Amino acid sequence: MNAYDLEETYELLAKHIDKFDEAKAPVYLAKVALLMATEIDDMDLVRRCIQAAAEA
Amino acid sequence: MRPNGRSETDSLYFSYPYFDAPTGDKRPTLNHPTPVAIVGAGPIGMTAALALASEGIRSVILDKKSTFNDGSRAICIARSSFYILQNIGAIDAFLEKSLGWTTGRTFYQGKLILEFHMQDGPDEKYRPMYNLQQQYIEQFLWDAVVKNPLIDARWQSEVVGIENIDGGARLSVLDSEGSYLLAADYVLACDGARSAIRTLRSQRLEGENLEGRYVIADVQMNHDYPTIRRALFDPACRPKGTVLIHKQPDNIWRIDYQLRDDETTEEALQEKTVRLSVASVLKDIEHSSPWELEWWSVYSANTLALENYRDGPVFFVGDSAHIVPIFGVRGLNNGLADAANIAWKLSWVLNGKAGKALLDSYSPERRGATFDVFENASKSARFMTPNTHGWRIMRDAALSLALTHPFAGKLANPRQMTPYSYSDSPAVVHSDDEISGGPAIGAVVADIKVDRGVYLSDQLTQGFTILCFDEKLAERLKDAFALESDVGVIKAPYPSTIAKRYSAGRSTAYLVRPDWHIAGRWLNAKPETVLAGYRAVTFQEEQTS
Repeated sequence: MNAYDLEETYELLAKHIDKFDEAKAPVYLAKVALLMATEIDDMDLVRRCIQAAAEA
Repeated sequence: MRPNGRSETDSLYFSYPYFDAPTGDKRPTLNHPTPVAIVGAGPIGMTAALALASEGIRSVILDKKSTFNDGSRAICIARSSFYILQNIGAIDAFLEKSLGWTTGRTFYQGKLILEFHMQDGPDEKYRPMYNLQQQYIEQFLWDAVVKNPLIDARWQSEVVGIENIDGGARLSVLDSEGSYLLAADYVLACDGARSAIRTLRSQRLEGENLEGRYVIADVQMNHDYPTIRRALFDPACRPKGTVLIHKQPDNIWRIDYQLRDDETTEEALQEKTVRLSVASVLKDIEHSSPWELEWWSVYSANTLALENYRDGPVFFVGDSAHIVPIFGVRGLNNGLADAANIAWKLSWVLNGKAGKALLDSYSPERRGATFDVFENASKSARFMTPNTHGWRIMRDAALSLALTHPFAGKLANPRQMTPYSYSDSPAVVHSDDEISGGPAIGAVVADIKVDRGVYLSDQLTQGFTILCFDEKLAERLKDAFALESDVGVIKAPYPSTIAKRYSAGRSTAYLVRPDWHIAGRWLNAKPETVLAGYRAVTFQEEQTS
């Protein structure tokens, strides 16, 4: 992903998180993660991303 | 502010001069009309005066103070501003004193997450950024101003009134010796964020105040670190906050730290508090030797601008027209670009080389630049100080992810200032004979080394320049422009590196404005087309109609 797309992703997520109150933000982000995992359609890659985010 | 016992101009390393109000023989001539009155003897006002003088235009500078602005204030000068300083003949002192830099490092919880390098290389005449305290900037510009017979600078001279008159404006000026009226064809309000002219003209800045308050403190110390901008996110000294550190000449270091919500501005500005805060930052960067506190101040990030930078004969220039967040070093640099822009346009109109309509392009061009700054600086501000839980979650996620995944560190890039492109301006001309690639219409020229130690920028003429790549075309262009003063033609080799950089064919021509922005370009240029383009962007039709 190039820098522009990364930045747009960052901004889109920030703006959409703001549409929910803070308590509901985790559920929204979990839904995004599940949708992305489905689109990625590569269980090894999904597993690696989930692990990497936990370790960061 | 300075430590207890020292006045506002009692610096550890800089001697502030004292300037009297005009006295003696000068007084009877104070009310003589001037083509341009400039209110404010800061960096923007002096740059405007020098740029006007370079075109032979006289000006009077009025400033109510008796010396330069106190404190280091704006310290980062972008490459594009160095070209402006070159054009007004003031560059040598800046090159000698300032510290050039190319690199920034961003840390999160003490660990490096991003090292960015701004564009630099053998084709660049100047470094992407230089650090220099504002009082030196003002001193070096002042050194050029006093040598220039076309500039009449008057200190301790406050403008207390302004009214429109036929063909210009009349200023009421008050100084310690009395008051007088000064008529001017045009007035440049370069009197800063708290502009008196803006108030006198009932103009209001509009926009928003962004989250976050920051203290900037200068300390003098022997600290072994290169001239690299350091940004510390969530450092031990300021949990959840941000700190910026810049090296300046004379062993002065700028420490810029964000205040917590529970810190009042009043308490944060107390000398004891500043010393404790600075000490904790220095401990974080492992500086243990002695240091002295020089100066400190506080700022918040705002995006405010006038709806129109022109009000009849008055033009608002720099902070009087707009207040931009400092992130990305855009305040001073944006103001210098304003000054260069209005100065060439005014001088061309006053010298009869352009129609008055050219002046109407100042506001849209520079407001466009301001809003570009707002967009970029607001992104930086949201990263530095997230103002909602959405931006905070994303910022925290990016920073923590960056510790192990470098891609996320790029989101911490401060987006340093770059020149704005006037692609939609009325003072540029588009054609069907377009070039694919090369500097776009409205963009600033791309400098390039054309010979050993010689750059394209050295060959650009004082006025408009036509850059072409063919000897015969050059001769025909010179013939076509024989009746136009201050239009130079330069021929670059073809084929060549510069031709490639400009995506030029043998018959290509670029028309470059005095402020070095591209006014027009043609892949297969015909002299009469280029001449028509030149007349369009200088609004000469208006003069003859």
